[in-house]
Amino acid sequence: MSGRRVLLVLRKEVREALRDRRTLFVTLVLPILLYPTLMIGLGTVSARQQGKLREQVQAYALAGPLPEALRRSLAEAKGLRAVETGDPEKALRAREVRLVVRAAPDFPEVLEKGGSARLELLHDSADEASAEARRKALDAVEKYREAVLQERLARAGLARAYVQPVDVPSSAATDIASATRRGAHVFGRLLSFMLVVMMVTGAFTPAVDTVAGEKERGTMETLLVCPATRLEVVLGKFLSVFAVSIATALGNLLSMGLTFGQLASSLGVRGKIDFQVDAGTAVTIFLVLLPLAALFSALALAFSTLARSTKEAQTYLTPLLLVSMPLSMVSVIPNIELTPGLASVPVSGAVLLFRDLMLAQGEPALLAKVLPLVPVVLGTTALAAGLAIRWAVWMFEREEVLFRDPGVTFHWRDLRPVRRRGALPGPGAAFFLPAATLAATFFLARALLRPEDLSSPPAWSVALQQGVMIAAVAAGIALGGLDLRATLGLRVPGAFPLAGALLIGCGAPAATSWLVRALGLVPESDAGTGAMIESLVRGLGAPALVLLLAVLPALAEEALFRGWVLRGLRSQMSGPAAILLSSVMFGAFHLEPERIAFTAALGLALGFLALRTGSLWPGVLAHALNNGILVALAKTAGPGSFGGTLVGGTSAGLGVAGLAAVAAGVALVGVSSGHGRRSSPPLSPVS
Amino acid sequence: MVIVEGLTKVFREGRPGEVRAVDGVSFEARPGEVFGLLGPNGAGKTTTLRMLSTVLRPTAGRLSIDGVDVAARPDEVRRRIGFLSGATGVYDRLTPREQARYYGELHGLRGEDLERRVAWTLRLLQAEEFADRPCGTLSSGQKQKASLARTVVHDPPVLILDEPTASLDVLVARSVTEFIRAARAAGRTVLLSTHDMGEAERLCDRLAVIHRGRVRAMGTVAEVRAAAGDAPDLEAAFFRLMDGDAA
Repeated sequence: MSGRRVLLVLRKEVREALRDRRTLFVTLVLPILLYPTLMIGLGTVSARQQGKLREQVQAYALAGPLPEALRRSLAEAKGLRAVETGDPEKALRAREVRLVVRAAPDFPEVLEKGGSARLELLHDSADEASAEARRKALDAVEKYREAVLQERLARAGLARAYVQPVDVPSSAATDIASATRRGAHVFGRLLSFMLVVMMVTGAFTPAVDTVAGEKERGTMETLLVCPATRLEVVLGKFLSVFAVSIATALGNLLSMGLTFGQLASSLGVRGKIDFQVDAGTAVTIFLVLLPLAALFSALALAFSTLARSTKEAQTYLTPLLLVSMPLSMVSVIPNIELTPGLASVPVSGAVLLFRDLMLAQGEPALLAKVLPLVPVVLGTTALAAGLAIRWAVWMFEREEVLFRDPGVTFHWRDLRPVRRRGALPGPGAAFFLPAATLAATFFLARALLRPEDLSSPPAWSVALQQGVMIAAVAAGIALGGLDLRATLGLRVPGAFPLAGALLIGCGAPAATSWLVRALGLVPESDAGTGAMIESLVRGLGAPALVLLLAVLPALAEEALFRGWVLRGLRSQMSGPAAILLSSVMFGAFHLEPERIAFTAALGLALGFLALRTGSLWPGVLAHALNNGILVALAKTAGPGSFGGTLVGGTSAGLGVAGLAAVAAGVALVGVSSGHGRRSSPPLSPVS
Repeated sequence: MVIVEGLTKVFREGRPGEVRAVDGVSFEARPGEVFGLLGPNGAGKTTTLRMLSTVLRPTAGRLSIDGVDVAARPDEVRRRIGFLSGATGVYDRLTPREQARYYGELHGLRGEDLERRVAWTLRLLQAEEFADRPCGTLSSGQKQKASLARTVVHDPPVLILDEPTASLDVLVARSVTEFIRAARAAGRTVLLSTHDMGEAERLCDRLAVIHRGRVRAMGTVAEVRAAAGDAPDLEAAFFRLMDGDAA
């Protein structure tokens, strides 16, 4: 590799980017100019409106026997005006008055006897003027209450302290958080999150231009024929995207930081909030920013390489944002601590680190806890960035990616079921169908289930999701004109694969529960599914249970995940990668974070079965056996045991035996299927 | 010198929709010669040229350029060729001079050498007048000249030109043709594809008629006409060869 040529490519890209004044202005300069204008402007306007609300006079009505002193106290309150009305509640609903002060019918008597009289402030919390009127009235009531209290104390000859044995000073007087920390708490987390969004968008615009743009303008081919290697070209382009991404992030960061600082000092009515970032924190943040920007730049570059045109490349921004936004939003979700585990999650770790670094300013004890995590975040982010760069280079080296067929435009008439032999779903479809199935099940369940069904779901609702899955696969195959037999793998398996599946199915429950537990992948509780299944197990007979919880899920999930998804992915990637990805999707599909590892582990074995044998049926057998055994355990073990049986109740001996059975099954399938490495039939992905 | 033996390219190999774009093509193009690939759209001309320029890998066959095996040393091959792709484009925000300089530098030229080559190339292509205007502001003929300048700035012994005169007006087309003749006179090997019979007849010393990925006839224009049963001209020969294939 020649560094000179990398620099040549970089220099040319930067020169081009700098000449693109309009893009430069819109992506870099405009946002930086806009933050102060927008935020401070917005802040000022909202503060002014809030002030107006305080100054405005809100009407209120009285109801019930209010003592004269209370009436006077309310009448003296600033910004409130009493209104006579026949039906106060009606007037409140019509917003003729913003507040009704209603005394209970026995108010004077109770008060007289020294009791606690009931006073209601009817208001509309969805109406700002009403809420303001309530605040003002509360102050007036407080004055009255204090007066009555003083009077009672005097009569009894008691001191004020008598009714207030414990004195808790206000929060403002006892808050140990420095103004900086409070500022970081409010603005730092927001800034950490926004930073990611800005870096993604900042990387995307130049990335789109630099690869998809070259393809579109017809300069790519020429560039590939020059003596620079693909790696040199990609690195040069990557560095230019990286530079723009960093510049965008820094520019925005600076502008936003200053804006927030300004905002904080204007908000700090009590002078107790301040947003600032000291030099040490800024440098540490910048250090972590580098691999993070590299990660996004490489991802953007890979997407841009995949695209045939700049327009297509731009559409990939949405999925990239959709994935990175939730990862970065952890900084604004309350009660998320930066643990070493979270620190090693790409994006999330960095964002939480930014937040905690800003929070730890001026707090050596806190800083000592945060700093050890910096290398963890740096390491994992750099690793992720390295992988992303590798991926971008790999895309760049594939001629079928660089010279993709010119845009095949989708048309509704393409959905006509024209059966094509051997046609399989593409990777896009592989992702789409499970997501669509989840959404359809969710909406159907909302429409069909009554609220009381949620705690103890009726039997048919369990079958609902399975039914939706089968319907979705059937519809996908019919509308996409796909090959039913090839997509699902409807071939008769041999005796050995079936025997292997038998071993896997029998061993899997013990093996997966023990493994997952032994590796510490699952928290103790498993309430959701366990409780639901138990309620079903209590209510149904054995045949219905086997059908509902073993056979039907096996058929539906195998068809969707080992048929549609696995073969769809396999059309674009290696067998192991397809099995791994489909297993993760299979685990995530169950929507219970505690069980992802458990389900995904099962998915690995089932995926191997499906690809190796080229048939759906061994997987169905193994899957049904696995589910059936778990259900049988729940049926025999009695209430409260299912969750425990599933994850915890497996002894090491049983676990190892189960693992051995699975291994034997896998080996049996492995050696018996003389089906070769490429077990899937000829592929023809459709998007 | 370009040697092509049994060149084959199959797209989507082993999958439904398999396309045999190039099927056992062999020919030789010598220094000081303009060799043409003549064929209708989709005949396999561009795919052949792309394999020669190393951007596509052949499914089978042997390619050598200037004595260097394309499969074994693609990087060495890239130093020896100037490749003008069919849908060639320019960098809108660079000038023709900057673009030529960029490619010259990528080819390892620098300093005075580089400037001399860039100036010489722009002069040869009569591109000096617009050499310092951004390519985005140029006419399509001027853009084609800018592309050519970038292709030949390193003075390669072998030129591979995919439809170099397609969609150019007569004036620009003529200066491109003159440029190609000059390159031949200077002893370069010129390999070009075209579907223009007149251009092929005027410009090519020898040519190969390609249809559906195969060579249907090869030789000088006269030899091709003879091979098509003494056709009166190249166009008639071309149609006869196509028809013969359809029958």
